[in-house]
Amino acid sequence: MASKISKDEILKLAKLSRLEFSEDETKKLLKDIGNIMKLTSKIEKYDSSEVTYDNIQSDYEKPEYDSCTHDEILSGGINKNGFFFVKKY
Amino acid sequence: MRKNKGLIRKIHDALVSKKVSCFELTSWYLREIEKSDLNAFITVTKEHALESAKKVDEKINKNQEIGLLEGVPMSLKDNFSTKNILTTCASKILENYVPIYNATVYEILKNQGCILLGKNNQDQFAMGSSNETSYFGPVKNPHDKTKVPGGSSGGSCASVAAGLAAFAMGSDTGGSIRQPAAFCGIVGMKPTYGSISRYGIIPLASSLDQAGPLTLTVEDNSIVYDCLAVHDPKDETSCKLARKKTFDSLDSSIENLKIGIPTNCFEGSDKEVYDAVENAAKFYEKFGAKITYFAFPELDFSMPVYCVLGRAETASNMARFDGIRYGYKYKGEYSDVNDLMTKTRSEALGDEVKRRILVGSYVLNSGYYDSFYKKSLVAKNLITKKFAEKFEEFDILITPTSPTTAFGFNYAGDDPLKMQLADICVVNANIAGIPAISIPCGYDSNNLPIGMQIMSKCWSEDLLLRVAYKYEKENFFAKIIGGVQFEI
Repeated sequence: MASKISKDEILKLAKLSRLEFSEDETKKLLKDIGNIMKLTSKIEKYDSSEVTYDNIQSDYEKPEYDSCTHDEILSGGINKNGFFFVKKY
Repeated sequence: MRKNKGLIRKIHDALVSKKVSCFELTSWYLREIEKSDLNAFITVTKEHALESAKKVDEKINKNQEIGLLEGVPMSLKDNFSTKNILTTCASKILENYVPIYNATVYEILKNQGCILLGKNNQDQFAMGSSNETSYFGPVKNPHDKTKVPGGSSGGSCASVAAGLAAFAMGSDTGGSIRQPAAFCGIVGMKPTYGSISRYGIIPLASSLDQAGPLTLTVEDNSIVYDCLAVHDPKDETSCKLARKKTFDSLDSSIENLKIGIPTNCFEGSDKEVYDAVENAAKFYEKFGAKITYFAFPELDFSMPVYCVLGRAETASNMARFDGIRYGYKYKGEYSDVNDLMTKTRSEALGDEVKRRILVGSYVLNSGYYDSFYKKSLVAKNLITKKFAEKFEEFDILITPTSPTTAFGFNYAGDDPLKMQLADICVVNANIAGIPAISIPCGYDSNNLPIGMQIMSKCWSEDLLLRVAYKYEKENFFAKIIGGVQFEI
């Protein structure tokens, strides 16, 4: 179970993350991370039997429009493709 | 033309009619910042601001036309990169970091002639909901200095609410614009993911981060959003979709709205918050709106998904702060490069930052990757799909922005989870990528502002702002606290 994170695991992760903690800090971290993990354990229980690449992708289709350059954005106006970006009021 | 002008148009009119010069206006704001004890600014760009103001005055004196945002004094959260101006992200590790380029948001605002007053205090690397994790000390809420302003864009919100800037820019990864906007009684919008460029914003969780305007009125918010919502080729996640302009349609009809109220977002709310938001939703009934209460059980996954994905991305993003490429470097002795990195990061990163890096590394660990990270991605998609379904049924969803009004310092004590749960109503919009706005909808018995959150489907900021504007027009609740607002 995720909420059973051990002291050794914390120290291993800390080394991996280029961090070091005193004994007191490690004890506090054990408690803090345990609490966070209790919350995230809902995800562990979540049934995602069909984890595929497709259902990880968002369904939102983003319509394709002709782009504009960064310089055009900064200068403001409407480019030749009718693409508006920064409107000068 | 609308009768109720927002602050930006009032400033514009005052500048054009020469009631006040841009130099005088900017000096006034700078004096207010100097007098303030809110700790809302990390850096004040006084000389830069006055120099820019003089240029605007020159144009006005030559009777040249100026843009609506030209000469308007504003501030930026300190995670927006600003060329040759200190950008600390409220951290020790970036205490002396001066970027060599501008974030696109600042570049556009600068190009529009806005006056940068300074960089706002925030939670360290935007990790926090109370502005207490800042290396530069906490920000005070202008409504009650014993309370927090919310976070992580607490300094930006406090600035606008206290009249220290006409508007400010914040960033929102899990409610960091809307929650402090609610606590400070102002308007804060997180637009659709990909609508405003993230280029040059120091990232927290890249798939959730979004910049947005913090303003005194909905009209001001619309003006700033219209200016910034553009495609940016420098940001790979910036959408090429042509955005709808919102300002011209603010006053359009909102007859017969279908409003959904997810009841689980009201659970655990203070009674005064619950009542104020419910009454605010009922306001729309006089325009023919139909309100439907419904359960939204999938939202139970939002906070766990946010905790997993947010921390996983944070752990990756924070790897760049190694004490070698830029920022603070450990000054004592070290044995090798790994030791240098470890000592630098351990000394210069805050407790909350380190905690999130550790949890992020944990959920990305090979043994747990499938249990947490992969499942969170699927749950994120499920939440996104459910929101899309709800928006086929409803035009907007209304919830409280936060279950409580502004709380006191050290509210969460030793339990970071308690602080995290303050964002329970706001993380949903980040998970689903939808736009959401917080507007003031009243005050509690302690005279602290209450925020109402309105959400709509992707790329419908025009509707969102129209709905918010209608409420504000008849129930104006925002007010500037602490100073006497400049007479214009």
